[in-house]
Amino acid sequence: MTWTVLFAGPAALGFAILFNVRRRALLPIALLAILAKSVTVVLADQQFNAVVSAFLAALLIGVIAYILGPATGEASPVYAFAAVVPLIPGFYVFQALKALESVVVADNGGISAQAPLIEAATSAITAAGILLALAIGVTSPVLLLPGTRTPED
Amino acid sequence: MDERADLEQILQSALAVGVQVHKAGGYTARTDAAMRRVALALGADKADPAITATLVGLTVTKNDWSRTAVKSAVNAGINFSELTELSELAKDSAGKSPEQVRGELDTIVTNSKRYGLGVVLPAVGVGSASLAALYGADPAGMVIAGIAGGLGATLRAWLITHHLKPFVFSVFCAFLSISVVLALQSWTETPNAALAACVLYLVPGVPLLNGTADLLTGYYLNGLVRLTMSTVVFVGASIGLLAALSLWGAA
Repeated sequence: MTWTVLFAGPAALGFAILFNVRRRALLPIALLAILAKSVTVVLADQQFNAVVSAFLAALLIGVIAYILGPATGEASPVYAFAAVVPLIPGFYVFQALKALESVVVADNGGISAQAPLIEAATSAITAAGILLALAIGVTSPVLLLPGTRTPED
Repeated sequence: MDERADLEQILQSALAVGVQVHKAGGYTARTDAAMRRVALALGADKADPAITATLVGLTVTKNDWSRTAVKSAVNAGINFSELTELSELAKDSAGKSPEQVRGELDTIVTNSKRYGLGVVLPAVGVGSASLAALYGADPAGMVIAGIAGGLGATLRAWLITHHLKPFVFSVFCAFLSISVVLALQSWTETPNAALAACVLYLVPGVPLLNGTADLLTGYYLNGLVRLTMSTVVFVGASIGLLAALSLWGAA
């Protein structure tokens, strides 16, 4: 694991401020973001698939947010949503779009488009899988709510 | 007659709370639960919310009398501070009168503070730079991504004040951010990381997560609407990105 995972903190803070999170929740969000990124890096080192890693990290954040939210007087999404932003697969999305551009401008009757087309599809599917894993992971604790609590807790 | 007037007060108070939760960025189950909780705490026998992407409705019943009201609730920008305060209000509404709840709601809305653009825009810049670092950018790449993200977010804030639709401002903002990175790409050896990170402030993260939460909690139509909204923003950003790459040349 590299020290660059620490950049997940300021990355999440940028979005937390954009979401107008209260000042007292900013530090926990930064720490949760670093934790989430660290989990994905550790799982990647253990040869876990990127989608599985993203899901497990997001699920962990969702569970912590679900416990931490009511305990600190904040709504759970405050902690959950901004903290997973650094896991958004921006690089895969960019690779997919860049490869798509190569497909559009390809000549040679489309033969030269085959490689970028495969790259675009692979990157786009991976990105979509990671996004879906993040969304399901972070919102899953809501589905497991005990009867004594409601979604607004 | 008094009973009907009381019911109307309960209805309007619970509905006002629901509208505000919806506008602040709550997913549908949260809006539903908040309205239901407030209505029952104020004395209704039964509360039946009906929520769409832009409308919030509620039927309350007490002693066999029913009243229904629907209000427009267009998203006013994600506001998690307000969402937290609204949750507290809903949880603490037991034992209060409808007038008290309305009064506290008005106080929350009136006193709701947002970070100023002087804080938000640099924060987006720092966020973009940090994301670039996570994608492997060198220090120069981080700085470029930060500048591009900050400038793009500034343009977005300006375009929003001119009431442009999300699709339109996504195109322009992505185009600007990518153009800035391409203009400065000679400073860095990792331009791709900066290019990938500089437009991520456009990612509609909350609608995407709320849309998924809606789907998973059984609000399928609202979930699809939110995911469609996210897709429209994403397509707009993609068009802006591809236009800039095509026009100025890829890194």
